[in-house]
Amino acid sequence: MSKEDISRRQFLNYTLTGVGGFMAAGMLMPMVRFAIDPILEKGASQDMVAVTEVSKIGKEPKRFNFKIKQKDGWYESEVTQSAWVYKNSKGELIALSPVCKHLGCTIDWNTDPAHPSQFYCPCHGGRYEKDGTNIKGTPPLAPLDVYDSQVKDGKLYLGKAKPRKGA
Amino acid sequence: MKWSSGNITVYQQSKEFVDTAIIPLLPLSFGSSMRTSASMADYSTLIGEETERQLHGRLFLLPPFTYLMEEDSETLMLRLHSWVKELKAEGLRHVYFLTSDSQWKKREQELGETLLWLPVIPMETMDEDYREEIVKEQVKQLFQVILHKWQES
Repeated sequence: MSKEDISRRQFLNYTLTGVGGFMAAGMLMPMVRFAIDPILEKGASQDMVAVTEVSKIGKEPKRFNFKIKQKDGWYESEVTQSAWVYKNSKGELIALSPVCKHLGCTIDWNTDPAHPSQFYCPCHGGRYEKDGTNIKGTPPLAPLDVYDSQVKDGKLYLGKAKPRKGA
Repeated sequence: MKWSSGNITVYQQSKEFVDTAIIPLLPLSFGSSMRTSASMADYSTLIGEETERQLHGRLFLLPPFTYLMEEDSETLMLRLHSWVKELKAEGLRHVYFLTSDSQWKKREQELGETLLWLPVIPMETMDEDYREEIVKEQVKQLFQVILHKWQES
């Protein structure tokens, strides 16, 4: 009879192997998960944030504020960031970070009467061209960071500010 | 710069570029003026932090100078002067006191440094955008004072 095909010994063997397998898997899974975690981790890329409507952007750099979520340990908070945005002669949108590459002050557009149409840092007189290139002879040694940008449905989305090579 | 270890490293490398310090003066009080003193702390902190953010590379926002409202003003003055002495020795030529406590306004002459006195605006009921706008506007005014001093020197 087919019912007696499995002997008591076989049955116990199967059962123990099965249960043992489960236990082993239970222990191994987390270990494997830990080991390969860096591969599974999502890129730390920050989501793009809608900043303004494209129609509001002109040839003259204008400051726009936007909010991003910042994680500081366990504490998540909203931080206001700003960007200087304008359309260059080719019609491309340029979004520059307002943080001076010298020591991190906030730069402003066209505020130094002696050097109009430049970005100016009030702290140590650092200056940048409209495209963000640092002007030689002033303290900053690198051009302003540029935000990753994207246009979708007539809106400008900005991501992370990325550094560029020095002039 | 802020009083944090990361910022201190930068500061030590580029000391010659940092010549300004802001000390928030925060009174502490319990009882009936507890709420006022807390509002002052809120407000001064917000203003101080925004100023620091804008002028990060040249300005040092120090940890607040705290005191009890009932504390003897002579001793306070002495303590504060010893802070200033230390800062000057460190090369911070411009020292500003940032406060909402009107007690200091009365003794401005004795301070010897610029007092930035801003009457407190209670912010706890404001919505965030409005609050931000007010702080930005106030900081803009403070800027004028600080930038003007920089241009003179």
